[in-house]
Amino acid sequence: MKKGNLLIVDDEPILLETLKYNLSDLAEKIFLAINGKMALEIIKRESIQCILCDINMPVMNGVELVKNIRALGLETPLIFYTGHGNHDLMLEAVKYGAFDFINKPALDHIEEVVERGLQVGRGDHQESKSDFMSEYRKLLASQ
Amino acid sequence: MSKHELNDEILFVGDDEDFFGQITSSPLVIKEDVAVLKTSYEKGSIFNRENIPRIVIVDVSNNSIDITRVTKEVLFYKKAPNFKSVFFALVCKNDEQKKELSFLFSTGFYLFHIKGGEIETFVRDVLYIGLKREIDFPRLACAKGINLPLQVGICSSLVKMEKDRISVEADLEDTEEELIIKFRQFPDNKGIVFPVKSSSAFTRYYPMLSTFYLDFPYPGPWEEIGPESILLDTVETWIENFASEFSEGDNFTVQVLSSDFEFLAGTFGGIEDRIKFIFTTSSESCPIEIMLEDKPDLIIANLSRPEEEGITPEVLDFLYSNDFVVSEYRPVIVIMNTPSKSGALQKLFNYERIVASHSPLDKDMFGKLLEKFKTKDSEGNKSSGLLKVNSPYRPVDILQEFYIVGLTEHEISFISQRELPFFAVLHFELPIEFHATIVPPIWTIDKKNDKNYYMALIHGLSEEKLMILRKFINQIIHSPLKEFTAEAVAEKLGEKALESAKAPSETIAVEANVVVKSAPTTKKEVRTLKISGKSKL
Repeated sequence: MKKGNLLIVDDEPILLETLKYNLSDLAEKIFLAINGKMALEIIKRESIQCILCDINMPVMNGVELVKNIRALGLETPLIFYTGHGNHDLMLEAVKYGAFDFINKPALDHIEEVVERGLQVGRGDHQESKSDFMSEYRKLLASQ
Repeated sequence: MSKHELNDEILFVGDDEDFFGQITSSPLVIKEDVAVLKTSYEKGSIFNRENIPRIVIVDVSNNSIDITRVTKEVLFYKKAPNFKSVFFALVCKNDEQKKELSFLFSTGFYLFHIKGGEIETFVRDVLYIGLKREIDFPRLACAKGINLPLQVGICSSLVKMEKDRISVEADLEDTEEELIIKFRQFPDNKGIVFPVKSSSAFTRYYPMLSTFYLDFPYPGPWEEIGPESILLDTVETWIENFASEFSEGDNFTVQVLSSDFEFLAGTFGGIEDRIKFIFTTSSESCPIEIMLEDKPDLIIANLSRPEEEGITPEVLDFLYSNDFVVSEYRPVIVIMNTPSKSGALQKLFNYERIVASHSPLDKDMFGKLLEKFKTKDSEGNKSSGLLKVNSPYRPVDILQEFYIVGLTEHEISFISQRELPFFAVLHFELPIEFHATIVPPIWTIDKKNDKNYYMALIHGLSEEKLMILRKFINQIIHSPLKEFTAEAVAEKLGEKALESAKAPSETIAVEANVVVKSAPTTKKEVRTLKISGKSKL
């Protein structure tokens, strides 16, 4: 089974390279972009199954990027990493579809979240009403 | 059809084919080109259809309908914006039944009709209020220039009674400083003056404008106790006597935030009693203090898509940033119609008891969410002085002094010191007991000095009462009243006529199926009524 392609978007080249190295086992191919504009060009050109993106970037931030991606009719899962003070951007991002948020700089559980994102992006797991109900039941049971 | 739009239809709920036939064949119904549908009642059947009718007429005259169930259904839907403007009228068999069911005036029914009465008058009133169309009314003999003050009751609901305070939902602005409440179960009671402790432009249970919280005006330690004084002992006795009138309270409270509540159509049949619902279209439609006090156990937010107006994540953010989620209070939050995943929303609001779905909220999902929640959380009983919907102690009149200026057997015109909403129901005890619903004036009236000049349609009169009212009007046209008191009215009518205008009471019972008929004919130009002023519908 193919792993799917991952796009990482961040304006810090060192972080881009580190993430590429750390996540290389999870994806078929990993593409890198230093801002949203460049990311959009890659998305139009390549088949991308999951996007890992800094929410706060110059040129085109994460929110602008997700808006543009949705305008293209793509439902690609976007995982945003966020820092302190990004609450308003997060609010805006969820309107267009955020798969998850990861706190910077710790980036805890990033592998696990990216793996789930790729799985959804590949279409291996579409959310159904019964999945949602089982999540709801679990939440009620945890009370 | 855009959201919140109703169909220009009448839904007749009942089994009386003859009466249904009289409505469908009414010249006015045909002239106004209004479809009339018919259904028998069973739980949840009123809105169990594709289109939401603008008018619902419930016929309870043959005692086959569970009136408490119907009332609960009406109250449930009246909370939701899509259904708020539906006009409900009730058909009774006689004056006795009408008197017994007059508690329904504070539950969303705006007009009564007694069978045997003039059907065309009923249909005209229903179409005028329900469709808000310009309808031609016949000119009736009018006693003008009465120019006398009269105390009149605004039909209201006593929602809660505790030994120190009561809460009342009423069609008055939330700026009142004191209210005179007349408890209908105490006929000698002329009304108790309650100072308003606090109020809110929001009601939890009944379709009215405001909620008032009122402290009992107990005399202070140095105040003289007179026959009019209200004493703690008296109120404690009332509460003891009320024991069977209190409901068991709500098991849990559900708040639904959505810009559209059309999905509720047909859901009532599957909903258990004792769930309190709060339907919210925006952060303004449900003040934060209500949420902090009611603490919904389950919050379902049906988000609007980014290009639409309505419920956005900002609305939720506004609610939760106001210390709504506090350590002791941990509601389950379900977010529907969101492209984001549960994990993202949990992190956004820093709260883990959130689940999200990309599907919009629909009837099926709503039912399932309640069903699962019920099985999890149905042990609680938060009862505290809430009166049952059908308790005879619940309806109260808030007394207001009106200046009566005109009276026909069908309309009453008056000046009020306070501004009142259209379609509020009034309870008159003079010249005979009757109810009237405030409407946009059916005639052009001279507004003198910008006073609150209103017109109300008198309805639900038996033939006998109508004769007495007619006689009274004829009397005062020729020899005007000097004062609007029981004695002065008695002088005009004679004691015998007054006695026969008073009616005793009797009890009602249960049951129902669906049949459809319609009467649309040719297209006509509709003249829509322009309503300027506050309106309940």
